[in-house]
Amino acid sequence: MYISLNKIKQYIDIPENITPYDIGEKLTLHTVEIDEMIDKEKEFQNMVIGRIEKIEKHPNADKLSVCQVSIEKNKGIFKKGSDNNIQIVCGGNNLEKGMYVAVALPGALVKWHGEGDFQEIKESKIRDIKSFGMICSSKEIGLFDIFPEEEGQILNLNNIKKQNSNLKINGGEKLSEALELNDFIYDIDNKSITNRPDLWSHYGIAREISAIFNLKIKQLILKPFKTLDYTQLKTNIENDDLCQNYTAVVIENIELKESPYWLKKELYLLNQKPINNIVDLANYVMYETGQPLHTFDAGKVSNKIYIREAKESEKIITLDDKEEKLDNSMLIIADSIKPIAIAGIIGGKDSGVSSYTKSIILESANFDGISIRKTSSKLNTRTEASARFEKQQDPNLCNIGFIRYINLLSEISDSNIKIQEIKNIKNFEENETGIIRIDKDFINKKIGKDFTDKEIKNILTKLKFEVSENKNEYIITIPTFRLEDIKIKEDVVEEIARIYGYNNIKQTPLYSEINPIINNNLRRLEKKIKNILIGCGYNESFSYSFLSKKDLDLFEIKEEDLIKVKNPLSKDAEYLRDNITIGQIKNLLKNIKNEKEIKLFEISRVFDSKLKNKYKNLPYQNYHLSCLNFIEKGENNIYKIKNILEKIFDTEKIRFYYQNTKNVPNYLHPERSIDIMIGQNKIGFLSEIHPKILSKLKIKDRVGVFEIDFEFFEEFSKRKNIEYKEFSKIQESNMDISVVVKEKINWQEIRECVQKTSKNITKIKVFDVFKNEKIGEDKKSISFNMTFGNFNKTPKSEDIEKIWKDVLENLKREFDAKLR
Amino acid sequence: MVEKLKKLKENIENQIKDLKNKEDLEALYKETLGKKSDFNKILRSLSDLSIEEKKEIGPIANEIKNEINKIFGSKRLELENEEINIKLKKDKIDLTLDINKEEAGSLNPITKIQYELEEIFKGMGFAIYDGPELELDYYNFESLNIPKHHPARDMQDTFYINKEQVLRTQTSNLQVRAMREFGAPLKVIMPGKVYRNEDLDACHEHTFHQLEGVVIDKNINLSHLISTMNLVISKIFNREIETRVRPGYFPFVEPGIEIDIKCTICGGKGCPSCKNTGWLEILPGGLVHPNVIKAGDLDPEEYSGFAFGLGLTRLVMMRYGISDIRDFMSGDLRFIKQF
Repeated sequence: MYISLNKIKQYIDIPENITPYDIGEKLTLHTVEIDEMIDKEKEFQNMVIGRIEKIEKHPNADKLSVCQVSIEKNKGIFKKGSDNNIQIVCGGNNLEKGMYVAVALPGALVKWHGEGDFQEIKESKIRDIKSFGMICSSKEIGLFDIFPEEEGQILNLNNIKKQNSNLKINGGEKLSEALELNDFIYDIDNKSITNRPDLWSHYGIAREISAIFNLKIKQLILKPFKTLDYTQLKTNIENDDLCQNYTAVVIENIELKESPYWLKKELYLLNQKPINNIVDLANYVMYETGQPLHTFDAGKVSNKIYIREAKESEKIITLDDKEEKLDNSMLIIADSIKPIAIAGIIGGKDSGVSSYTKSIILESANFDGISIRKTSSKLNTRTEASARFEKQQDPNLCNIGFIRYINLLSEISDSNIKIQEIKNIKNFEENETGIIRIDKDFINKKIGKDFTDKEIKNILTKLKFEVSENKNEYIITIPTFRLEDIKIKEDVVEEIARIYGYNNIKQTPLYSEINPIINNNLRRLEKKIKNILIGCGYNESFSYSFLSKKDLDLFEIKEEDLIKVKNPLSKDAEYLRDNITIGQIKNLLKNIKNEKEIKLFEISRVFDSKLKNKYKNLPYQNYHLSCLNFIEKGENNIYKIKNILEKIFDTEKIRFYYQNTKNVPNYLHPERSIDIMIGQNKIGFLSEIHPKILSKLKIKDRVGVFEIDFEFFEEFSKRKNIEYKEFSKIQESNMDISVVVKEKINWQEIRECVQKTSKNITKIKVFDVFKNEKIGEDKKSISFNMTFGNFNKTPKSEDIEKIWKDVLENLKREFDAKLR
Repeated sequence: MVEKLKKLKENIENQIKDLKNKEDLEALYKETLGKKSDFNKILRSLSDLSIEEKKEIGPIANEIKNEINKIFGSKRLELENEEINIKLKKDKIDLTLDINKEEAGSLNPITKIQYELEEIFKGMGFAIYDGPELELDYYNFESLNIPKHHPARDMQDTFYINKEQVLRTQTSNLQVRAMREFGAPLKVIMPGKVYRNEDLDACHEHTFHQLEGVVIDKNINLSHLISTMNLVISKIFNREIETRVRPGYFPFVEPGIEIDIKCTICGGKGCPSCKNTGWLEILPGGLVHPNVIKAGDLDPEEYSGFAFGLGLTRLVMMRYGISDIRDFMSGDLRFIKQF
């Protein structure tokens, strides 16, 4: 929202020692967030009014003229033309001797041909003729909205001078001063006034400035006016709870035309486009008071106006040419025949004012904020009016805005407007204030500073609250315009703290009981595992929690298996992922052109509505750990990632086993995929990516991945995994063995079989596996080394041999193994 | 005789100097001190002398023998050292060469800074709390004093799963959960991932990280909040940093504040990073709204508290001068490996 300082000055006399920047800073520190402070004078620097004294044809260009322009006041400074005038080359096709024009002198900022960014004017030579500035079109200085003109014309200020004798349009005057554009604008962050309906206006901001600087604020001038003693208008509110105040009046003898200069200028300063006098005035009063107003063409509306819920399938074409389908959750304004406006949001096109309008219906109403908000988000239509109404405006404001409009309309109308009898329906108690009682020490306790009664009363009074005392209590009367945001004691505390100034509060260190902090084991483990992984060369690469339809197609994932996002803005965020692996494959793809060796990991939540969850009423969303290994032309990527997996389990001494995967997801290699099990629980998988996915992604080498449920893992890490046993100090010894077994027998089975043969086998390490024709089809040779230890006394070689033979026997029995 | 021996010693000394290898040295040794050597002959001839002469010459002869032995000893050591040195020289390799190079991996800078902050807060007695990202509307909004159709919902574009469930838009979703789980007094931080339904560009991400903190106890006030926040900021930046406090609106705190720091890039003069204000928004916070304390099953008459939120992603961008917010989630190793 834009706030004009000149407008504020109409309500408050601001002493000269307070600069516009001071005001901006204090507003920031005490009230609202300011996005930008705009010094309009700077925008118009080095621009003056000039009078064209002489026009000659440019000797070298048909369409250009050489003008001698007088900027009297600055005589002697710019003696760069003839006869105390400055010489400017100009292409305008409406140049005339004696014309008052806007002259941009060197150093001024203009938009070339009214387009692009502002650029600085310099002295120049145009086709060999010197030019000491520029005679501007309104587009070139950003004033087109106020002074619309034909293409090729320069801004002619003669008319404005004639119509506005108060403006000092004379040669040499600063343009910004002459046109009263020397304002200072604050761009206030709308989010910072979400809770302050009273601040959506100049008068509201002025009230804050008056409190902050302790300056007196003038009342808004509301002059009584005469009305006729009749009206043909009838109004009827069908939903009392959605409309607290509806004031409407027919004003006759309207002349729709261009707004006077001052009004157009005010709107321009607030970054609004002037339209016509009737509409501009309504907008102006809204910016002034905060009360949105609407005007209908009385000739296009039947005499009876209803404030009611829309009927299903009712439609309206709005002022911005959109056809909206309405439903019964929406409050509308209708005449006897059809909707004429969506209440508080936007008017209908058919009932709007036009150049044929002879009389208008002026509406000043108060609608329910939540209802407006619902409708406005449903229709995706947000207007200046709806932004204000949805914050729940003070219903007492209707009257103020209403009177201001009529007063100003009378002022700017040449015709004698006639005001019919006013129709007013009120569903609220007028001027009803609120009361909050607060224990005196409550305020000090919450702020941490001892305020005196006087200080507190002083601050609250400046904010237009009334304060009385009753023993140890303040009784605070809340003005009507603050009822929406001051509801509890804490709200009053905020008022005192912010006006006093948060930066003035002395800081008190926080002391508290010494309590051991609650341990977060998951986070402890997460840190540990991450550190191990980076030690192993793995990089933490985040990926999104979302999957797109494209991902689903590519990785052949069924849509119904995933949780869907209801309102994704981006197509990349349609589904929630149930695994991290896909994200890591996508990350692999991003790096594959730059790196030959890619090692990635991520610990993040994944989402699955089919699994059990620890949070009540919410889907499963455990943290998973995913690791991916890719080495260009690397044969054993999967075994490398398997080693990492086992390292991680080993650091927590968690025992697990592998089990053949039953349902391999479509993106994993069905023959190179295995489940990671603890007890009966699947905790994750180890796999290669499916070759068809790899070929779709043009990845030429195999990719190894594993993914585990990190929260399961954490749970098992908390169990008693370490059982210390006194160990034998007797020297250990080693022996190798090579056997031939069926190919389908996996190492895990062999190892377990060997292990259970004797408690004196302390380590088993495979060192060779091969297949060849000699061994036979479907067979493999496997060689491993066993370490023997854990003896009570030094073993004899027969003892070791016995174990070795037992191992062989067991392998023969269980797997039909043959010694090689 | 003594003269002879001394002469012999001198001779040996001269000969030994030029020797280049151990074999020659041992040959010389044999020649000079061996059984058949002149030296031995002279010593043997001692027996022909009188007892007085023996007494006089014997020790001298022995001493000379010892001296000669010593000369040989040190020459032997010298030659051995030389030999080793030659071997060592042959061993020289280029240790700057990369053989089987293994790089360390990197943490995402978000994690790095998050862990750093966790240590700071743990040092101040804060626990670390974690909770759901797919959250009930109740915890993300309603319990935080943001009912349905509250205008404050506009401040955040929300991913809805259904009417009841949303992707959390803020780590504040854990305020009420933490209160319900641990009661009071409470001192926790909740770092984590949050989501906003936005289109991506260099300044906007739909996935980013925050760190929320809550303190609940008896008699907590604004003065405590401001003091603690200043402490936290000085710890984060590892130096005293000028701050200012101004009002800010968040429905779950009352009063609500924003803490700005003097722009770390321009030092307060005004630059594009601070939108020419000289200040950077860094820490929103406030006293926990009594409705939120109530939602946390605590009595707002008895307990008060403060909450604050830190834009972790923004902080990391500031710390390292990262200009594109999308880099964090890109998985690009050219980005990650720098940390």
